[in-house]
Amino acid sequence: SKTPERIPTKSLDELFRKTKTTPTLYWSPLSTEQIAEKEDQRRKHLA
Amino acid sequence: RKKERTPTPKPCRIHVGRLTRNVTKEHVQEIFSDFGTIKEVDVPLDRFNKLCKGFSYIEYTTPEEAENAMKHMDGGQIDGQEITCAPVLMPRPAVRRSPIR
Amino acid sequence: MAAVESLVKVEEKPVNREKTCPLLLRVFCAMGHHNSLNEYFRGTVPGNELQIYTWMDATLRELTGLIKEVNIESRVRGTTFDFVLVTPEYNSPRFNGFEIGTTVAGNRSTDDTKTLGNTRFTIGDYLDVCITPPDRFIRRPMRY
Repeated sequence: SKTPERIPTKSLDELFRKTKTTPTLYWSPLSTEQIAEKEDQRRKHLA
Repeated sequence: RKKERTPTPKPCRIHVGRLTRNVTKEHVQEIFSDFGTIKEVDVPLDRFNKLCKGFSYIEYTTPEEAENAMKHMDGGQIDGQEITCAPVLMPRPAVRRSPIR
Repeated sequence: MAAVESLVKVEEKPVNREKTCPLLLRVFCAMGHHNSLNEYFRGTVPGNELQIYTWMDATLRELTGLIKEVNIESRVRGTTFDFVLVTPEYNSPRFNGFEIGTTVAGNRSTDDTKTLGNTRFTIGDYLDVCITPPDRFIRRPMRY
C-alpha cells in the first residue's frame, strides 16, 4: 500500500488506529480533548 | 392507586452511521470491540452488490459499554470519513388499562 | 459506456492529513486497456489490485506518482494514465465507469491538479486505470 507525497511528518500508524481485518482500514476515535469539548458543549446546552 | 413508573432502561444498542463501502461486519466487530463486549453486530448489505449500506447496529452487553462506544466514536472516523453513533431507544411497552365498566 | 466527467465540485480546502484518517482507495491497473466493468459485477473485483491510503484532496498527479512507484513499466516518459472511477449502479448488481482524467508521465496535463474531491468520488469507489506506453500509436479507445 502507498500514501501520497504530502504525507504527515508522523507515520500513519502513529496518528491513527488500523484494523487487522483486511482490507486494512484506518480509524480514529475522538481524542480526550475532543471528548472533553463534546461534554462541555452538552453541559452548555443543558444549562 | 399510585402508578408505579419503571425507569426507562438505558440502551445497550447503538446505531452507527456514515460507514463507507469498504467497511465490513468484521471491521465493525473489531473496531467496536475496543469499547466493550459485543453481543450482536448487524451490518446490512446492499442486496445487489453485497457491500455495506452505510450503517450498522451494535448491541453491547451493558449500557455502560454502549455509552463508552458513543463517547469515543460519535464524531470519530473510519476509513477517512467521520461517523455517527447514537443510542437506539426502544419504545416503552404500552401500559394496558383495564376497561372501565 | 463510460461518460466523460467534467469538474463536478468546486475547489475544496486542503485536508489536514494529520487529523483526518486516510481512506482506502482500491486501484486496478491494466496495460493498454481498461478492465471490463463486468469484472466489478456484484461487488467482485479484477485481479492486480493496488491499495492506496490517501485523502480526498489527493490529486491525479499524486496518484499517478504512487502507481509509478509500484509499476516500473509505467515510469517511461510519455506513458499515459487514463483514470476511470468505478461505482455501483443504484439498485443493480452492475457498476458504472466515469472517466475522471488523464495524466502523462514526464509531461504536464490539465488534470494533474484535479483531486478526488473534485470528482463524484465517494469513499469505497474504485479507480480503474488504463496505462498506455508511449510507443503505442493507437491509443485504446476512450469509451468501452
